[in-house]
Amino acid sequence: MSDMQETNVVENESVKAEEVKEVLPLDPDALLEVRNLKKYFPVETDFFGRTTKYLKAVDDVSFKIKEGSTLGIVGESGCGKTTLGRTILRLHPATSGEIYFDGKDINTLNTKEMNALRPSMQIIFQDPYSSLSPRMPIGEIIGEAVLEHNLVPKTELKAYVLDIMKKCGLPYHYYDRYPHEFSGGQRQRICIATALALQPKFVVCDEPVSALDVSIQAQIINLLRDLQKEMGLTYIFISHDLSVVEHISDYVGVMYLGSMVEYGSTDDIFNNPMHPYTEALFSAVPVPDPNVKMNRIILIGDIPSPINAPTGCKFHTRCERCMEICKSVAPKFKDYGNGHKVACHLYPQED
Amino acid sequence: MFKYITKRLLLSVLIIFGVSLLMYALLRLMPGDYVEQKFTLNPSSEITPERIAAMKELYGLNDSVIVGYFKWLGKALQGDFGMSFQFDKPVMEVIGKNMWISFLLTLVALIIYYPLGIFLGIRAAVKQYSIFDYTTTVITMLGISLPSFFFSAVLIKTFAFDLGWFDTSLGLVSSGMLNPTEWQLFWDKAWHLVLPMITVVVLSIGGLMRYTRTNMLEVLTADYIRTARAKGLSENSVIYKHAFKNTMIPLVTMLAGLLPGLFGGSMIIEQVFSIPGIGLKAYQALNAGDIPFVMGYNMFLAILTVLGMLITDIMYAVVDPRVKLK
Repeated sequence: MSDMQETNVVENESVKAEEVKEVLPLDPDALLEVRNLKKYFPVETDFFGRTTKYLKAVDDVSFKIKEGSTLGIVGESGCGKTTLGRTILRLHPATSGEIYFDGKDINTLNTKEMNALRPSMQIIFQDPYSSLSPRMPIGEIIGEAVLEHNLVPKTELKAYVLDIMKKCGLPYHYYDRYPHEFSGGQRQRICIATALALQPKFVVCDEPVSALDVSIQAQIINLLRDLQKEMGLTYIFISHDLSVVEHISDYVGVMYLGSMVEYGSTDDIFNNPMHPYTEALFSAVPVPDPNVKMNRIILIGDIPSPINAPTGCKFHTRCERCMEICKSVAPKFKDYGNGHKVACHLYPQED
Repeated sequence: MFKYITKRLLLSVLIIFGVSLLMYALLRLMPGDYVEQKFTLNPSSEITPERIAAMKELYGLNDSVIVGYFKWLGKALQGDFGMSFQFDKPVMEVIGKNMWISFLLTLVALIIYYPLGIFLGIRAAVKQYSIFDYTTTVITMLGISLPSFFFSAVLIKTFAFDLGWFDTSLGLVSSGMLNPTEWQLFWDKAWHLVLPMITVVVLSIGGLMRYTRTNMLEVLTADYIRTARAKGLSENSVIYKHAFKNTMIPLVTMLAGLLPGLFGGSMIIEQVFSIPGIGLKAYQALNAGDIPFVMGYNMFLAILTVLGMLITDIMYAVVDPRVKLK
């Protein structure tokens, strides 16, 4: 999908009356604040090229992240986790909503300003096999953007890259090798080194371990945690592996069909899940004790299509505790104390 | 690497034997040999059947295909490709003498159309479905679809006859130049090569442009391009450094495949423009049933083709770090 088509969507979108929201002051503690972020992909156009159907990959998501903390994003495949991560970094232009990074709304920046900001917000992609250019030695892959952004003088570049490689567990003699000579875990280390070489404040880790085998997963997760402590990084950690998320996150957001249904500190979410979807999701986490009887909540049916999302609460088609109101009215995403937010009619909706 | 090349060269020898046998058999099976074309088809000539038989014997046209082939092969293996029936000179001499003008024509055209085609292909891919993309596509498709004889004829009609920019006489030298200097002769020749060159460029650029565009589009959707964008690299860096570097793999290798075309000349274009290149000679030889020349010419092309393919494979290993030849 080309950028051009997507910009058109943004223009078309202005037709939809946006409720006027009072502009709240920014949270000074938050490095990143996302407000009412939407990302719709056009999927069907009529004869005149007007879009008639959208895939609502991210639909009205708001959250903030404190500097130095980790937000885990969990949800089923296709719930919009990856799109959310990429839209925050403006790798996809957002359909609407604001993304405040360090106090600036990055949606308003032009390409040049955005490129200048990119080093401070990095991403580690899911597939380390395809995300490295096959024709560049890894020293160049890691160093090229450093040079282009003038982060380090040219004469010190090699020493700088070797230092980053060492931090990420890559021996110095890998410098001149090509990506195809490495295993998956090593490649993911290269991807991490590439991102961290730019001295970011904020890193989106988009399922960084799901392509790797379990023993390597632990190494990479621990590496990410060590680097976070050392460099004071802020992470968004996207994963469908709940145990990994519990291990690494300070806060967790649960997504379903493009919307965030529950958000809170990791303890609150894991010990006191409020949304029926979160409960069902967490009941599926395996416990390493054969004597524990698992009470699994089995969700019936597939995840509905994000093109024709259900009305009201999007989860009502699969919810065990669905009520009449759930089918027609979308619940509010409300704070029920201690920053634990839920969107569900089981809890009082009035302010 | 050395082992690989040796193996390939040995294989090439087999291929060339096969090609030569096939070529020879086909040439001999063509109706109307050199002697018949020259004498019997010409009603005014008064020649006795005995004389024709003697001539056929002289040119070796009375031998069976197998005997004839081995006679030819025996000499060819010693480096003797025989005398051209028609040009009455050793085949290799005719090829060597006429090759360079064809080479010059194709080389200059290549130097023009290769970078241009690649550049247009890249821009069309970067701006996919834009007006630029559609316009270049339509124009280059026209270039691919036009038959070369037709396009050359249109050029000659327009620029030589109607506008009078070019000399309408045949060949590479203008008529009526009195005591021209070397320099004048050179420019005169170059000027005569402009229209044929335009023809070659227009006919060849389309395929290359489409090829580049397709490859580039594929690379542009690759994950590592997204990585490059996420690194905050400028758009030029992303396109020309990351994307194009990976598109170059098939393009560079294709270059070696052009080797036979570079030396082999173009029968039709040289014929239309009366350029005394190797393509024109081959065309005349083919019409006259000049077996030694056609055989020599085709062996020349076959060897170049096989060499071109070998160089292509070696180039793969050079430009793509993932390829290792064994």
